[in-house]
Amino acid sequence: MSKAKISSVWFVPIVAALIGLWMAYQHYSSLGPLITITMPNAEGLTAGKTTLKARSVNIGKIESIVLSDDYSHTVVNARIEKPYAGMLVEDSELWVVKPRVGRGGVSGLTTILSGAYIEVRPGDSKKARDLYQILKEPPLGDPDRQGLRLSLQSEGNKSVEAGTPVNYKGFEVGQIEQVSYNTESGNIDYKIFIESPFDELIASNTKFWIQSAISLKMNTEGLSVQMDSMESLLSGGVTFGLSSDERPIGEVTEGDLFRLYESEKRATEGNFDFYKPYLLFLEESIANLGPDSPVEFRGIRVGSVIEAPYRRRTESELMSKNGIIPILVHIEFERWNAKDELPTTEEWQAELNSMIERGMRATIQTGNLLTGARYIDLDFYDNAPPLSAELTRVARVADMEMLPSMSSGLVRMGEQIVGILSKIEELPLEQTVAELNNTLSNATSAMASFDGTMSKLDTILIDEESNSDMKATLDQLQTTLASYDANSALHQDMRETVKSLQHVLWELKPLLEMVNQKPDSFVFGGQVEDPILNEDEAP
Amino acid sequence: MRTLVISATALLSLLLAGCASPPKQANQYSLVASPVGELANVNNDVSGMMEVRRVLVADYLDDPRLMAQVGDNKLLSLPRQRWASPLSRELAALTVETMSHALPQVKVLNGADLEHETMLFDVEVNRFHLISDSQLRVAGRYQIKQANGDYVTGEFLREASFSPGNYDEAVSQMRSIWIEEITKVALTIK
Repeated sequence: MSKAKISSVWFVPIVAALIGLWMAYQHYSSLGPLITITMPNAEGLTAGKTTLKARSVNIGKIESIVLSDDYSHTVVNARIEKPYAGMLVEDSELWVVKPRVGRGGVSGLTTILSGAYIEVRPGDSKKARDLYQILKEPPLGDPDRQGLRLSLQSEGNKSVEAGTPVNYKGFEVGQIEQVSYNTESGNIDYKIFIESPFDELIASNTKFWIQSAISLKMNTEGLSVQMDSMESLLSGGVTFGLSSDERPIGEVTEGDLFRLYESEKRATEGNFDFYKPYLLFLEESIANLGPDSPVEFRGIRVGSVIEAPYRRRTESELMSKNGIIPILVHIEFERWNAKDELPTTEEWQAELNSMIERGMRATIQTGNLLTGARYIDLDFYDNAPPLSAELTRVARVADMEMLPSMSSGLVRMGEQIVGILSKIEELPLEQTVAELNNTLSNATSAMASFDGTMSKLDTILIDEESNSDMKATLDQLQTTLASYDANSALHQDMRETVKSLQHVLWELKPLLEMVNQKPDSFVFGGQVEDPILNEDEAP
Repeated sequence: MRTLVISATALLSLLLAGCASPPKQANQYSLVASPVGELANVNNDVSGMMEVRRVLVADYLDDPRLMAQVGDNKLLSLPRQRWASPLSRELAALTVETMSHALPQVKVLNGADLEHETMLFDVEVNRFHLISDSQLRVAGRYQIKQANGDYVTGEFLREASFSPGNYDEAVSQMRSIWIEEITKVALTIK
């Protein structure tokens, strides 16, 4: 029996098969991991063409783009080249690079021609991952940068966007990386990054506030407008600093939480931990007085209005029944005393009670005539009204002390004007006006008569003949009067004559007395002997 | 008829003889008849021009006769003792003359209504009379506007005695008192 012999021709396909197997092994062994990326849509991406890049180096390619099972998003499968497989870890980030116009400027222009690609930012984690959610926007900040990441919290509305620069004295020292709304606290949370070495400027008492691009101030020196750079004007900014009387205290660590204030003024002025709440009651309009309105003592800010009006049940009843409006204020006695000499609350209350006894009262005043902004003014008054026991009780019920108040100067002036008007009202104006009318009527008649006389005089004066006669008469009169001038001879003669006459009368005085006493003395002579004077009769 | 003519002629002669009898002459006194003479003290510190503006004499003294006070409120005139001219003029003239001597550097004028006078002098004479047959009284008040604009006021009251009935001596006494008082005033002027 002959033994079957394998033909040597089979050697060729076996070798070919082995080579094929080796090549297949080589192929599959060289393939990197396949990752799945989910994204809302696949705009600009093409399977088999769109690449994945890291630092502008191709690290993979999209193999397929399909819709998810529920058609709600797109599922992209991408193959990562084997040498770069280690980049795809737990905290790696992927986003689509395409032309964008944002706060940071225009980016991705090169993709207009080359087409969009997926940028991969490698993470630090060691744990591999194969499913990613594409980022909507490119992540902000360079992960390699040295610096400090902090959290900010704001109670107000969202005022700055992610990418907004963080400035310090005009230098851009970082940026806001993330903005989110905290549904639990109702605050806006911000993640910010401060570049090194500026992170050393941050201390635990540093204040952050939203930088206003345009600052408008009006005071006694006039109106001043301060405008920041055009970039800040367009994109806004966040800055930080300390109050003028503060020094950096304490170090900060990554992720520390700070408050983001709405303005520099709020940030540097509104941070007084030592205060005491007071209720004050006003019986006049509190228009333009609201939270944060200042409480001043002779022009120095000593506190803030917290609630105007203060709405609680008892106080609301007081307001509706008597028209008295309660105001809640905080007297921040850090503003009265140096920080290292702060009194206790009891000491402060005793000091305030002493001031109230000496006539200190609160009034509402207008601080700015243009805007009508009001403030509470504390000052001493000689005519301070006594404390109201009822209002003190109301304040105590609210677990607060009462700050006694009185009507403002404007109201007092108004009361005085009302008083004056009342007195004017009591005057017999009708009778006076009637008499005045009568007088005016008589005056009108007199003026009419005078007018007629003047008309006649005009007629006489206009008449040339009368005019010339009058002129001649006046000339004659002037000549005559000149002769009676004090220096004229006639005047001198008259003076001498009067003088002589006086002398004669003086001389005749005894004679006249004698004739008066004894009419026949002319014929028979009068008494010409002196009377005998006796010393006994002397006074 | 002849008897009637003789009687009428005799009566007429008697009447004419009575009227033609020499009248008794009254004594006339003047304060400025004699010069003031040299004064013991004068004020050489003042210069300029002074107007003696007014010398006001009380109404009861504005009489040609010397007056005598014989009771607390009673006055008598002496008909035979008369001023040569109204007392106000006599005293004004005497004041000007006294001031001129007491203030050698000052030109003193009487009521000239000067436009550029530097000093003004007004005096009011309240008493310038006899108060018995041997006593007299002189009193007055004055005001001076000095060169520096300040006003100085003062008053004086003097009494003196004279020989009973010797009115000439009485007038001399009153004149001397007036000169002394005016000189005192002049020495106070600055």
